[in-house]
Amino acid sequence: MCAVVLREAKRLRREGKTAEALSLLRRVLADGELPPPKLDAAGRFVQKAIAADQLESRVRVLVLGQATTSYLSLVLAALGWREGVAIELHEGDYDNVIQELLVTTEPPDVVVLLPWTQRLLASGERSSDERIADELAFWRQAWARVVALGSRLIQVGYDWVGPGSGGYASGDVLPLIRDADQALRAALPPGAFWVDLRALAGHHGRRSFYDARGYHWTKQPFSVEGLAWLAAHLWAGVRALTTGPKKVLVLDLDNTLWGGVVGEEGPEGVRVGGQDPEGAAYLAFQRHAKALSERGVVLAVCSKNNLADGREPFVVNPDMALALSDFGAFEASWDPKSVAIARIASTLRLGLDSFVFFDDNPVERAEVRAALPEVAVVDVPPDPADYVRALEEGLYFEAARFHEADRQRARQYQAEAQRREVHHEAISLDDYLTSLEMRGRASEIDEESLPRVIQLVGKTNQFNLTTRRHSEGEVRRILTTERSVHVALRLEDRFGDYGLIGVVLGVPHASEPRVLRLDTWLMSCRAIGRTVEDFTLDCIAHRARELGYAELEGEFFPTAKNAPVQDLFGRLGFRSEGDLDGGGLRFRLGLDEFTGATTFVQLAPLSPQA
Amino acid sequence: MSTLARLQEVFRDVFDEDDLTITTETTADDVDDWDSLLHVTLVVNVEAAFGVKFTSLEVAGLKNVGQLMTLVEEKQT
Repeated sequence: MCAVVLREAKRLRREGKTAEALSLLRRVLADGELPPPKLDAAGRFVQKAIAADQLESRVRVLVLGQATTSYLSLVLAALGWREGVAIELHEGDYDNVIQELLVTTEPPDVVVLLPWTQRLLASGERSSDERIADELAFWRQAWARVVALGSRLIQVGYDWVGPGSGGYASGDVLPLIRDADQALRAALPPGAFWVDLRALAGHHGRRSFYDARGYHWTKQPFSVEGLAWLAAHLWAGVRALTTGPKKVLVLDLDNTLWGGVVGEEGPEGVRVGGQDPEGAAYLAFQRHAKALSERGVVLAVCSKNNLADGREPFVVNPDMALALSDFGAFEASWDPKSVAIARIASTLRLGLDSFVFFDDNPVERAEVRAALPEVAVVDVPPDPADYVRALEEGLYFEAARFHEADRQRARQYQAEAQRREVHHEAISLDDYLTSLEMRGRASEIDEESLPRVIQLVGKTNQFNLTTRRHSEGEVRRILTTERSVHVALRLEDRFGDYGLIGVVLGVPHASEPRVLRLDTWLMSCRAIGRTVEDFTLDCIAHRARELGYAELEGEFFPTAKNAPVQDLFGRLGFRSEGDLDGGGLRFRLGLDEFTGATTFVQLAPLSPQA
Repeated sequence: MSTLARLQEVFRDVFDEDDLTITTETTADDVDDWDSLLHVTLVVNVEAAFGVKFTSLEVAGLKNVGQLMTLVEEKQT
């Protein structure tokens, strides 16, 4: 079914009927007919339409994380489109949060920050307090930049997947992550939207929320279902920070606020409260609605009843939690519900896109969905005991935390900004890279490092100048070639050890023995944006001089993925030498004129194998 | 429908190409956009379409569509 719908949408797009395709997509999203594995495809569809100027973007969202965010953001775009909001996505490279924020010039409407625990839990000597302080210092830098851009912030919390080797009872992992999460939340800038990942993952169950395979494959820890849940919270955040949360809850009466039909069973015959378990469930739902109204949500009734019948239980039945005075509008008539809801909207002078409709009758829900697509319609479960959960899981009334204490803090924050204290945290990219205390180590490729080298050669896409997928045999042949230069690059910083992240394979030029041809130069994406490539060039140049080379020859073959390095050779001072067979470009760098690159990576102390 | 034909449907959806044709010899290099991210999307969609689940080793070891097809068929029996 769902695959058919996506194909139908694509067919319409091919025929130039993109608007129809998009409204079809929105309809199936609203009906909940697209399962989680298809949501990213829907998000991609929306992104393509925005890119092709067939859909005007309404909200620009920049998603940055210490985990891969590519799926998450696409699912977010799908959920936004379900409510008719075209989200234009912008993303950074994996684990490049600060760097991306510093180079962003066009302020996004909303910035989403997703932490992950690899740095918090990295091996090393730091105490728990130091670890948490390091994390907070990092996020404060990021927030200062978000504030400076004038963007709104959605901050996701920390969570664990398992308790670690110490286990549940005596391990350090769970308390550390919990404390880091609480410290993060307490330090949030005012007006930020907080996504309580621990609560969310706990609600759905970590065993199904996470998929251990995903983290190992793509540095993306969530299961397909977990992604959909997390994206739903991100969307609630985007909505809260842009148009604001939903404002009106429209409720049916019979079998929604009480059990039974008031027109037949009478105002005191309907089931609510008392000893009856069904009545207790309806009472709990009424109390939930009442609590929402106390938080500022406008309640309204929309029921197919005679007006007098509909009102009577609120007056005469002593077990009701809700009173007539709790409702801002009361529609009991025999008109179609879409007509009645439109009347409520004009009474309240509120837009239909701020309405949530809750009705136990699937026929009424379908009628409202079809006639008023702006209205959010809750998929009401059959058992009234599940009503509260269904409404809560819709996340309609989630808002950025902004209590009186926050207001107080907001004033302090503004005052601080004026005293330029915030600017002290808003650092330059150079300061940030210096603060990482990066140390690099270049060694020749040996038997120990060979498997990781072959793995990187086989899978690296982005920072890969030639994308030559050499087999193990081919790599070994290069290693044993006379005067070849082969480098395995390892990187660590104050947060931990990244292991082997870069590979260079250079061989003597076929006809010019004093030229070293760089057959392969690649780097893991986690090292991009840190001047590691500059450091690598220093290492190559050093080794090449030792072996009597006078010049380096760089090759660049463009692919769909390696745009990040298309200007690398030019930036590093190589001169262009024209085209290569197979669509590549050739560059040269004279080692005489090369005086060293600017890098924030220090040479690590010599290791035994270097 | 044969396993290959059903796989082709999944591929067409995932890679957003309606006339994509795959054979048992097709590899990631033959399909535009088949990067490590869409690879996972592909795996998840194959899992959903056939009601199977792959291990990390199986996914890492896949060389071409033929191997994926064999794996799906083994898992289904």
